[in-house]
Amino acid sequence: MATRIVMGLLAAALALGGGAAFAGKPEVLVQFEIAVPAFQRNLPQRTQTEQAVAVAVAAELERQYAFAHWLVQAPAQPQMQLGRLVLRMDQNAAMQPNPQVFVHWFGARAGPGAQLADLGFAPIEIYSPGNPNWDTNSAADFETRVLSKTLEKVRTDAFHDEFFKLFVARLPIASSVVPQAAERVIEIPWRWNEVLFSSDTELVVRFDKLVDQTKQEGTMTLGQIAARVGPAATSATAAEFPVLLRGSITKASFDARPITLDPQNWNDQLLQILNGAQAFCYISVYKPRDELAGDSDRLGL
Amino acid sequence: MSAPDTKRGIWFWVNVAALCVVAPWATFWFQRHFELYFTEIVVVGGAFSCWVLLRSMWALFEKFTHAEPVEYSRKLLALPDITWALVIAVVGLVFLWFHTASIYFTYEGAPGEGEYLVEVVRKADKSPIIPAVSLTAANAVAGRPFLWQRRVSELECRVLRPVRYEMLPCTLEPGHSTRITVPGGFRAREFHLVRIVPSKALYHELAAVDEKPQSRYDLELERQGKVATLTDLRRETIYTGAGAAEMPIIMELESPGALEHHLQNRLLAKGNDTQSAAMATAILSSATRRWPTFYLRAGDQLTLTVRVTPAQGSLSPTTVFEGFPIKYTVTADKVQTAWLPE
Repeated sequence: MATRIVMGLLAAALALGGGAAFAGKPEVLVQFEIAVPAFQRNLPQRTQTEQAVAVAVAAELERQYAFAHWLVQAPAQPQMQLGRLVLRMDQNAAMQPNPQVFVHWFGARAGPGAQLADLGFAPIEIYSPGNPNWDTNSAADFETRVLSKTLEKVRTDAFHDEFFKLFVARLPIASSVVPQAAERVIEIPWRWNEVLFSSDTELVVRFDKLVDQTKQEGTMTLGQIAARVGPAATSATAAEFPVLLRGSITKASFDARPITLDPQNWNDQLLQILNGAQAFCYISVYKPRDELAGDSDRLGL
Repeated sequence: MSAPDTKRGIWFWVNVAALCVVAPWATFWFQRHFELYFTEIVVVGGAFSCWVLLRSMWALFEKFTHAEPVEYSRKLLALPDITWALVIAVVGLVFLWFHTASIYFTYEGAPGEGEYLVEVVRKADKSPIIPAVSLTAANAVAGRPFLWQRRVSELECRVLRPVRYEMLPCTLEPGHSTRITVPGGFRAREFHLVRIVPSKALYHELAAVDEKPQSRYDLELERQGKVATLTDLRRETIYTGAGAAEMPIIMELESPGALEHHLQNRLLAKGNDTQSAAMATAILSSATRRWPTFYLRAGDQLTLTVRVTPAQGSLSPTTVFEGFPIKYTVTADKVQTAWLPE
């Protein structure tokens, strides 16, 4: 019993980053920018058109990645924002007979000073060099064309896989994790009913800490993602899914050495290792929860 | 035969001979300068009327004076005074011969042309000496004689309508009659139909004719210091090459389907894909505008400038579109295309 109390206190102290659970979904800001001068000069209602395209792309991404809200307006609570996705329409003026107009994908994680980086996708061609008929003066035609070209690409399985690998998997969904030694799980401060992960989803926690003035890094792979009812939850609130994500450690390493796990996927040294570490949690395998399936069995309600 | 009779016989033959010279000469002079002015019907009708009048008066004269006209005219022609009268007539005729000028247009016609509006103006001050007059098959002669001309007048003969003929330098010269056939006497004007077609960067920016653009694009054409401006250029083909009066004529130079053919070939040759080239061709050939500017000749140097006026409310000033102004030299081709930019 004493051991459990000590471990509980230690776990509380290890609530890395110290944040409470977030109410609501993580949020990703989606923006569409026009960087082609001909469109900047001529497109009517350019701002509204840019927003309309962003809304449509965000809606499609939200359908595919339901764990987050894909928004076109910066969230009111900045801590809810995971990152920023920018679709920038640009041109390659060197192409003949006309410049090629394409959409490039840029991304950045949330946080001050985070720089937009090219995600490395093949650009989506909006107007080929052989097409001079740009819709520079018709917002409706332009929006239709951009969305048809973009969504056609976004809806492919290939894009889905690539987008996950190049953007979603690079967004830290949490900058704090809580090792729950008593239950031998790592807890992520997002509500289960918001992020809608299936149990097949895998998360990766990357952490580092200073040991003897040397930065040492480690990783933990979390599987068996499930819900966890908070200690203060009543039966009424439990019915409303006021539960946090948790995962069992399936693989762990620190300072380039594997951490041996017991049959319950735990190692008592983990609390010590994680103590004082800076940790970020990422999605490594994303499987959305089947919303038609019930959750009662998982929650034991 | 007595001596007076012999003298009268000599005067008679001198006067007859003089009349034989003066009468055809006067006739020739009249025919040269007046025949066209007094048209044939006036000459024939007038001569017949005069003959009837004279014949009536002659009959009355014979009846009331019992004179014998033949004998009387012989006596008259035998008088020396008649010789003086004839000498004075010759002097007068010589004066008129060298101081009468005339200018006449005669209708010749050409396929598709039934009426010509012609005028003659002085070269120096452009004042008309023959105001605009219509020349048709029914009214085939225009012009008039000018008496008491002492020196050569430099003139400009013009076909005002149709406007497909060059101005003809002409003169009003004492002793000469200027005859000009219409239109054969005039050199056909050199017409060039210039199509102005937006392409590349300019085409990308312009709105179609059925769109409401944010910015306004104006096209300026400058030739020899004179500037014409076409407001609100769109994705369209602009026809120019002449003033307003000549535009219908130069538009006849455009064959049906020629524009589409040219656009399609050019767009494909430049590397545009088939579907896009077809679409651009449809846009540019269905939206055309006539732009009367200047009468253009081969070799004329044109400067074309596109100015962009930002949307209302914008603080940006009007600017010259990137890549402009551009120069274009009118070629000898009847129909030619200036791509903006080339």
